[in-house]
Amino acid sequence: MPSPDASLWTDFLAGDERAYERLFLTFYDELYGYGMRLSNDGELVKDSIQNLFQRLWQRRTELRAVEAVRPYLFKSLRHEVAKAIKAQQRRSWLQSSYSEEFKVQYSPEDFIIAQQLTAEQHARLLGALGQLSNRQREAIYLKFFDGFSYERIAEIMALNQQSIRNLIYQGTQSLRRSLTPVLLLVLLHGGERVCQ
Amino acid sequence: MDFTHYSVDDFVLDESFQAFVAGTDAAAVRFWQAWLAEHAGKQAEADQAQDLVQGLRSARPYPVPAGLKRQELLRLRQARRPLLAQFQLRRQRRVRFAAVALAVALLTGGWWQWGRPAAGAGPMTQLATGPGQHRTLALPDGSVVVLNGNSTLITAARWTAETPREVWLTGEGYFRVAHLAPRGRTDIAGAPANVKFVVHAGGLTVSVLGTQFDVNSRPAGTKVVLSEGRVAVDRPAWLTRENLLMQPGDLVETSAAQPGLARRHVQPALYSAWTEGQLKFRQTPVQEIVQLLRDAYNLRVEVADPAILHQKITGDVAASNLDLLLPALAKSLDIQVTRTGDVVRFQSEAR
Repeated sequence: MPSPDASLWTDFLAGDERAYERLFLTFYDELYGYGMRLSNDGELVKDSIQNLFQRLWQRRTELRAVEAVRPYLFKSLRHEVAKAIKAQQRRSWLQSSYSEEFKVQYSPEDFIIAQQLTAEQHARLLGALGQLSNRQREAIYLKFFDGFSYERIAEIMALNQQSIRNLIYQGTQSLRRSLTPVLLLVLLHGGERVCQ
Repeated sequence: MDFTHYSVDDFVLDESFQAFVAGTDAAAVRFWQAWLAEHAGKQAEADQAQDLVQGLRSARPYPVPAGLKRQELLRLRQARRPLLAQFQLRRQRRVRFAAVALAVALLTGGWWQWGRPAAGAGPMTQLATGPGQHRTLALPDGSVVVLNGNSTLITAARWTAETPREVWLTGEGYFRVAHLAPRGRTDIAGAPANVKFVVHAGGLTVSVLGTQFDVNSRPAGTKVVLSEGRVAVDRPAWLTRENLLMQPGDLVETSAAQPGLARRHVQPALYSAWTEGQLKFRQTPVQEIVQLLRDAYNLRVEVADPAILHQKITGDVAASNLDLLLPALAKSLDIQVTRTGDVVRFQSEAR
């Protein structure tokens, strides 16, 4: 990760409130987006981010320098959101039979596919994304949209790297099965596909 | 490495290939462009992989409601300050006192705030001096603060017309506060926060509209000396609140030994002399100089012969250097001045 994050982090650990607030402002939008994809509950996500940052401040003297700030925050937020969801489920006796396992709510609509696709093609891809498991969607999202390495995604999702690779492999393969006819169609219609 | 056996999926999963599509790594971009130029047979597979990676990359960022981030930052600040205060109180005092403190805080609506910047305040900035160092600070509202050695002043980092004029001092500072209130207005307590000027120092809250005064806050106690104008001094205590209005020439102090506000009359110029570096004695009674040594230099002064106290001195002497000041006093008074640590003895010269 770029060094500005690292120096903000070091300043924050030293008790610099401005660095602390800069961290909050720098990562808020991304964390909010990630949190909403995890739970789709605005209040829960806002509270989770508040808890995350309050805890950071209280524990700043115990915290060590982290290798990379961004994945650390993603990982911590995932933990906060999971905790909040569990607490919610425990409070609601109607849902007491729900599994203890934390379910990620990644929705297919979060993906907007390259602009050259028609509405029909887009719909088809959304359909394919809908077939994926939550974990596959989350891993694919962290990989391609957020641009994390396999190593970082493994940290964030608390799985080993091979599991992450498998999730992404299975996910993209199943996406491609839906996408290939679309691409063929595009190619047959005179190569209007834009080369990147 | 040999990529000629790569399938579409292999390309998709390859981090270097992903970096090429994203354009985030110049080396990867150069490598894959060259590689694809050499391996035209793999172009179709690479294109498919590229489309998929590009498509997934261009997912839309989650829409964040306008203003949410700022609003949540304020919430973070508000949640954090009281927590911090409660936490520190708990550490400083025993548990039963903490319980009382909390109850009092709830009753009086945050009396504890005098010790530190208040909830909802913006980012703070801290200005400090080392031993023997003086620093003149021009505040954004037009006020000027001269910081004496070993002192710290905390103010808001960003200062607008709406910002409460409020600073936190440890050590010693001489304040020349710009007058912002309408002409003729004298009610300090009732003035808006951005009109009055408040100095928090060692348990005292010093409020003014525009005037000149010295605040000296050291661990042993806190003193305020008013040069001109009017100053309101508040001392919030556990369940009570003590306050008084100072007149020019007043010195008001509180100390650990005697927490109640005590007032006496002094020559204020002597107490701000350190800002100029020169003490100017003009027919000044030794009594006042002894008082000054106790107040401003934190010395214990013993005077063997009370007659010395009634002598008067005229002359200028360096204020910051006791090694010059004490011999100068000895010489002009024709007495013996000896210093042992923090104790100074004035004795008539043995002839």
